[in-house]
Amino acid sequence: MTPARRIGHAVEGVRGHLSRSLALTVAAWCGTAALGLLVLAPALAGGEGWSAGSVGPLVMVLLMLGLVPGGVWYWRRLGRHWCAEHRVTRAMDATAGLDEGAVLGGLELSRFAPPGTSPGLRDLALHRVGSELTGSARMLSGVLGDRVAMDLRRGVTAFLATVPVLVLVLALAPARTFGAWGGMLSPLAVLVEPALPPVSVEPGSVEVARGSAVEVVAHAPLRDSVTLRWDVTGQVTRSAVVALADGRGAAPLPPVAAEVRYWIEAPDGARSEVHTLTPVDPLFVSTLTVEVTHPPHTGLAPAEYQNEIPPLAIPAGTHLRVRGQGSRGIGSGALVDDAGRSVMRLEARGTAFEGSWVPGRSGVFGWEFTDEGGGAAAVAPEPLAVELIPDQPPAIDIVYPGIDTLMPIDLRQPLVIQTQDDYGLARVEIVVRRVSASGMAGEPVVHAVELGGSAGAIVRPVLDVSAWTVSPGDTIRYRARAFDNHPSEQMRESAEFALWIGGVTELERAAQEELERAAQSVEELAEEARQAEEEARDLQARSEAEGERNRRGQADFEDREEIAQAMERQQRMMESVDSLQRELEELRDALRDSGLADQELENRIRDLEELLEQVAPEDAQDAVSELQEQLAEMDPDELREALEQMALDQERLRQRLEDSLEQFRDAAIEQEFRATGREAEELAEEQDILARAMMEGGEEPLRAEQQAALEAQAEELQEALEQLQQRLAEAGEMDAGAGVQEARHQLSQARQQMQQATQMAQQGQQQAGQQAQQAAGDLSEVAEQLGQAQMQMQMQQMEAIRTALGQTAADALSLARQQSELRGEMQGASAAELAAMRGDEAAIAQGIRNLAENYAEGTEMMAPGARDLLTAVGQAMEELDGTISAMENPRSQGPSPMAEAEKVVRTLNEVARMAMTSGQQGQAQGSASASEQMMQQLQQLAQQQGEIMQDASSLTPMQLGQETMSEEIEDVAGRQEEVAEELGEMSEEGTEEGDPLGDLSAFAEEARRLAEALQQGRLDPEVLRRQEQLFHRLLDAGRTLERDEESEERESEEPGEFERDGVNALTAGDIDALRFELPGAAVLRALPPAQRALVVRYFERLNRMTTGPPGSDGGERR
Amino acid sequence: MSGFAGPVVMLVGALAVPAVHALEQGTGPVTIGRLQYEGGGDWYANPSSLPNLLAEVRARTGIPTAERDVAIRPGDPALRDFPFLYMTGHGNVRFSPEERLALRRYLLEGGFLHADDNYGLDESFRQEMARVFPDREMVELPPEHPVFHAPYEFPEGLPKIHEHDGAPPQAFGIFHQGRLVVIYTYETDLGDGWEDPDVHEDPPEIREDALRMGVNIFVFAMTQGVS
Repeated sequence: MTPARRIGHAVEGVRGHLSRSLALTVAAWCGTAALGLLVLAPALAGGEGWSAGSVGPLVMVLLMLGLVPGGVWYWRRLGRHWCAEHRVTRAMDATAGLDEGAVLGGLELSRFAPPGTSPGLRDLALHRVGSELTGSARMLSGVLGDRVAMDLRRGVTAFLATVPVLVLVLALAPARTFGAWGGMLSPLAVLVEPALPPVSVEPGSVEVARGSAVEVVAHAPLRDSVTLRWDVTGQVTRSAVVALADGRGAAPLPPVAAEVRYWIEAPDGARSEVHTLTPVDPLFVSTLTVEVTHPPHTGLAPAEYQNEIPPLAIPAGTHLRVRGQGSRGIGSGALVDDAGRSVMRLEARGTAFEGSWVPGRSGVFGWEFTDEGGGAAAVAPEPLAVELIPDQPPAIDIVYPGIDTLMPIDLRQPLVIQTQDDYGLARVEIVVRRVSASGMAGEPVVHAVELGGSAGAIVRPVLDVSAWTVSPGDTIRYRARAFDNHPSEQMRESAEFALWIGGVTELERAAQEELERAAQSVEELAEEARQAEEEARDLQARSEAEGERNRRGQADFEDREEIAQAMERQQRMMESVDSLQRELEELRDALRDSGLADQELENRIRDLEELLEQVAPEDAQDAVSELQEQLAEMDPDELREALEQMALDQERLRQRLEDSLEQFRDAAIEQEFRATGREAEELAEEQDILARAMMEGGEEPLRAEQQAALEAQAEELQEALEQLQQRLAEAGEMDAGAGVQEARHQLSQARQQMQQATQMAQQGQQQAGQQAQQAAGDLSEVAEQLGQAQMQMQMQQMEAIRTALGQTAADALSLARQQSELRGEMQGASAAELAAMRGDEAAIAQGIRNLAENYAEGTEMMAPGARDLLTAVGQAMEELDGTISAMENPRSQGPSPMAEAEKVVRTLNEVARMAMTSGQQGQAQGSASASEQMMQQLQQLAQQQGEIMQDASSLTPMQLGQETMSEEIEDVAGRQEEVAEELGEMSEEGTEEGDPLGDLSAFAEEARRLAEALQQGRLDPEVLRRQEQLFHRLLDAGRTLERDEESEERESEEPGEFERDGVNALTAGDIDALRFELPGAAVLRALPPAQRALVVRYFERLNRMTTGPPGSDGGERR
Repeated sequence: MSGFAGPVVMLVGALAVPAVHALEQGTGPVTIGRLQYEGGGDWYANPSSLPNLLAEVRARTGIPTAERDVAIRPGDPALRDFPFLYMTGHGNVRFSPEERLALRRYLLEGGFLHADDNYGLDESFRQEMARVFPDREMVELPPEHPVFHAPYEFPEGLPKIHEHDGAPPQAFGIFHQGRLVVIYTYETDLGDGWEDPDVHEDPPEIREDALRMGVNIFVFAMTQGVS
């Protein structure tokens, strides 16, 4: 071989060696990489292998396939680098010990010898180089070969090191490894979606209570199991295999304390979505507000409670509005009863909730809240206790009179109605109806009093039936009912009470009580007048004493104040007298309206009215009023005069009151006589009817009962007689008292016989009727005895009056004669002689005063014309004063003493004439006009008709036997006939058509028809009704009315600017507030009516007395 | 049975608190008694005022009221038929002693009087009231008094309806056992405001104020007594 060729061969050999070594190195590293991918594949694929659709296998395969070209490319690149000629030849230079560049030079020379190069030298050079290039290529590669060899060793080492790893992986997880490698064998199959249904897991992404264990449910159809995987924030992913049944299985997750991601994977690679469990804190509901709105009718103010709601005691119908807040979103809320039923559903909005409820029953109700996830609230408000207080019906009582009683004469019965309600009253209604004596009931009349929501009230109406057409024996039935202000207007009624319209007897007795009360009032007024007179005298005396010291200023003011008070007192007394007078007038009117009172009683009351008119005449009242008005402007002298005048007036007032007191007492006794006599007569009549019924036989038990009832009445009559006798004794009427004593004795006998009759009737003995008849006879004697006693008393009184009048006439004539004689002596008398005669004139003056006193005392002011006579006496006194004055100054310009004395004589003669005339008139009441007489006659007829009606009405309830009943009806018919006849006579006497008294002929005809009906034995309700109608027509005759006018109008302007002043708040004193409330209904009801009235009045008085002056605080209420 | 269905006249008085005070005329509609007095004053002034007020009370409160008022003298026994008395006028007022007593009794037993000064009534009315109630003072009602607050609100008290002396309107009262028995409206002339609109040609709001105050007084009188 040539040197040139050797060199070329050696270089190529080195280069080949190097190239092979590089190839091996790249191959080793590629193999290592491939093994690394194989080791990595199980890790990437996961335990279950590659998931369906995963690109992992494909990537892995592509990477492995890419290692080949990559390795080739890298090998070629390394080859160009490391196998470059200059690098290789340099390494060979070094290895062969040649000069640097020798191998390259030789190589180049071998390839081309430059022109001019010696072939020998070329050969030599080539030889020299070629001879040095001995040995193997590996050796010749030198450092370059070492370097490549080292790389090769590294690569092989790496490859060899990877193999155990791979073996280890295979050993540790063969299934996984093979699964991964299996996927790599078919990367495209893995990449595509699996054919099985998708998998899912519940509950999905939700919030769960922190710390709660959540069970997840896997849905993987057509799989037997799935792998549940979860990872908690900050922790590794955990998994659990969930066995499935029918493609469904559940597995618990650990308590959720932090956010948890979870999903499932199926063996086929299917995988669910990844969900998140977010832990949340539990729901707290502790902010709660309950607004309580009470029903409007209760008047209770709304209330609001927060958080700690107390037990609610609320009226039915109360509206509750609930609102509150939770610690986070509220899903639902409700108030539930003890059975778990919702009574109020709460509307939730975010963390807030609200609801409203009208409780229908009491109970303890719990709160139920859930959060938005449905979790129950960890903390809820305390249960709500509700006590539903039903609206009770109102309570009502008629506390006064509170019993069945007699209707007052004026047909006006004051009532006191007490009512109360828990939540307020709407109104009180008083229901009144009339039930006639024959049992017919009228339509009820309802009267309402609005109460405006007051919780309680005492209503004091006056039940006034004076405008009604009522008759004796009727009953007014009334009750009260209260309505509360509940929307349904709950109502409760009081008991029903009756007011009996009394007959003649009751009327007489009532009139007596009124007169006694009037007498009592006069006595009290007289006592007050006496005290006032004393005070006036004291005041007068003090004023005169102080007047001498000529006091002025404050003291003067005090005097005036005292005088003003005294005058006010006097005024009040006069007003009281006026008031009493009006009460008497009302009594007289009521008696006349009733149609049952007799004329004598009416006249008597009229006399008393006139007497009171004299006690406090209008001019006297005006004089006091005038003095009061002038008081402020009076100087001290005028003041003293006013005081003197006032003392004098006071004295007169007292005197007149004392004078009239006897008359009032007498009138009361007379009326008591009359009422008692009437009772005795009525009792006798009833006893007579009963006796006849007993004698007729039959109905013995009923007759015994009726006899016992009459016996009880006789006992009451006995008490009335005792009282009358006592009164007469007090009044000094001994003779009349003796008559009453005799009547009492007679009555005692009658009572014994009545008692025996009762016993006999009870035993069915036939003698009972005879015994009862005897009792009736005795009772008749009692009535007769009383009548005689009363007549005797009246005669004695009349005799006393006649005597007093005669004495007055005699005294007046005597005084006139004395005055006349003095007048004669005055003629031509000197001034001194005239002065001496003044003593005689004073004696005559005293005589006149004595005459007046004796007259008043003797006649008790009951004589006709008493007022005129006393006026004349007063005139005589004034004229006598004028005479005395003229005698003191005989030469003055005024009338002469003789002229004045002449006047006195004339006036005294007139007094005597009046006294004699009065005595002759006796008790005559003066002449009445024709129409007045007719009115009186009609009143008497009405009275008779009323009595007939009353007697007829009372017959039916007695259940008399036929015979007795016929007799009684016949008696009534006879009396009815008498009324008819009298009416007929009046009619014939002539009243014109349209006369206010009415058509008397029609009245007469009706009375006659009624008499005929009764004579035929008819006593039915129709007859009774017609009798009643006739009675009222007779009463109504002659009533008239009057009316007044009005007119004109005025103008004014629109208001302009103004400033208001501050006004002080009203004090209890300002409004006259009550301090003491009336006792309760129960207390009042326990009292008799009379005491009850006293209590009511007492409290009124008490409150009047204790109401503080304006500006006081009014004190505490009790 | 004619006459039986006639009115039951009720007199309702006050005793203890609370109490009710209303005089009503039977079961029929209630009306106002116009007090007819002596002394020369024109008690009949403002003839259309009370019918208008009664109509407004009926329309605004539902209280059944009569069409017209009724003239009544203080001494008339029928005074008790009226729960509400009204008096007005420009001149002198004079009551007789009997009338004073009757009026006093009426008021103490449950009645109510509204006196409305039509300019010129003041002096004589005060004198007469001092005679009727010598034991009681007439006190001015503060704006807080309930009569100014229901059913209509008058926060400042009595409204001013007509000009007289440029003085502020004032309401005075006399009380008995806590009950207002007399109200005296002074320097306002409510009655003029109640008249037909063309009588004084008041602005509608002024007339409305007058009617409202009238309704307040009427309703108060009929319902007072609750505490």
